[in-house]
Amino acid sequence: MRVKANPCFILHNRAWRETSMMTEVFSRQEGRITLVARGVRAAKKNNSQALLQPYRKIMLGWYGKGEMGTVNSLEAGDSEYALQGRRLMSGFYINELTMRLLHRHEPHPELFDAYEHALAKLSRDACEQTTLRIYEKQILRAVGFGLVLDHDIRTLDAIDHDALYHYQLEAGPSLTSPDSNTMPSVIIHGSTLRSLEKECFEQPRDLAEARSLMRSIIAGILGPKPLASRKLYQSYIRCLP
Amino acid sequence: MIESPLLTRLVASLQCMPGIGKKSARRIAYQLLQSKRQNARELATVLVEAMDRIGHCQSCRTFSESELCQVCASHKRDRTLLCIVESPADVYAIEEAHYNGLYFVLMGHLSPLDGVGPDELGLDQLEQLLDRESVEEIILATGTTVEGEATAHYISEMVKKRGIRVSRLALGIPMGGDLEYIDSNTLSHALSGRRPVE
Ligand SMILES: [Zn+2]
Repeated sequence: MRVKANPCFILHNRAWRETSMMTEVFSRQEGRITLVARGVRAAKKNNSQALLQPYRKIMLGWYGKGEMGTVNSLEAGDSEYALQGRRLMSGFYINELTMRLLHRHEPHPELFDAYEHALAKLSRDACEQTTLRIYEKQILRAVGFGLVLDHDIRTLDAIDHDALYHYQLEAGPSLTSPDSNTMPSVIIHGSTLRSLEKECFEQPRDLAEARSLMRSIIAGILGPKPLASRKLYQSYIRCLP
Repeated sequence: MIESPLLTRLVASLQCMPGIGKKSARRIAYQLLQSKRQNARELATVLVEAMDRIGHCQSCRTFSESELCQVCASHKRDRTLLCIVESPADVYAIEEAHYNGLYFVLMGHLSPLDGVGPDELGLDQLEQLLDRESVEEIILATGTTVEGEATAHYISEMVKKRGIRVSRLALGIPMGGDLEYIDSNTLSHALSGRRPVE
């Protein structure tokens, strides 16, 4: 199978043999895939290695059948997002999230655009936390775990800005608490749900609530293996002066 | 073709070397047996000895067969200057660029997805080194990859409370470049053109 050059982002690189690289790619056309880029770590091909960096849109073409393809064309794309400082850590997070949640060979062109949008915002002054929450919402929707943000799942009433809801992780928000302990839930304000829906947070409290809601939902989906980038982020926060 | 079992094992073992595939391994094995047995015996002895005796310097983590490597033990080095690199190969490259300070070798870079975090890079050991020595400036010479940048940033935040000047290798290194593949002239420029990290 041959795949013509199409827009891609590198999610993660790993050294492969002596001079090659095994790379996890988010392709707009093909979704998440694993490719081998031969010889790019050799001295004279330093330019290819520079192109194969995360947060940089590239045009990649490849061939091969089965799980792993081989890169046969590589060119710079039209944009590069220079993440700086702590935002590099957030970049690790959205890349890991994308790798863990997307199945291989499942195209998600809309999510690809959302991913690029998130990178663009992280590379500018936009609010880091808001950007992460919006991307989490979008990726959950893309993989079939979309959130219910506009109505009470029991009464179907519209979300009340000031009320407190029990958000059942696998179902959605409700004013009444879940029947038993077997249904994990997080308690959050209606305004948090509304903010997530509008993708705009007016108060820090809502942003903090959205963060713990997302953390619980994502942990439930990913299972026992925690996100390594989150652990790194936490020790990073601890070492800040 | 029928080959002696030991010869097959030798060919297989030789392939652990970088750049050596099956074909080259076989060529090497045959040549050693044919005309270089003495050299090969010597190689075998050195290999075993090196693998057994070379560990890590207790101060800077580079390869060393003594508790302290030659750089750390030397009285001629500028102990106010500390260069942080990803690998012992980088130490070698920077020595070639006439650097005269101390080193700290991370043996990698932050890469959460590969399970490499601050602990794996020995950052607690780095703190101990900074407690012990009177370092005035740190030069972050991690790679120019995303992981190298993140590592440099992490360390710069970590040492901020000590009030040490921190700079980053800059000029001349191509983005995504590995230090060990860069010529010493370029590296020399990079050292002199280092910039402060904000
Ligand atoms: Zn040493």
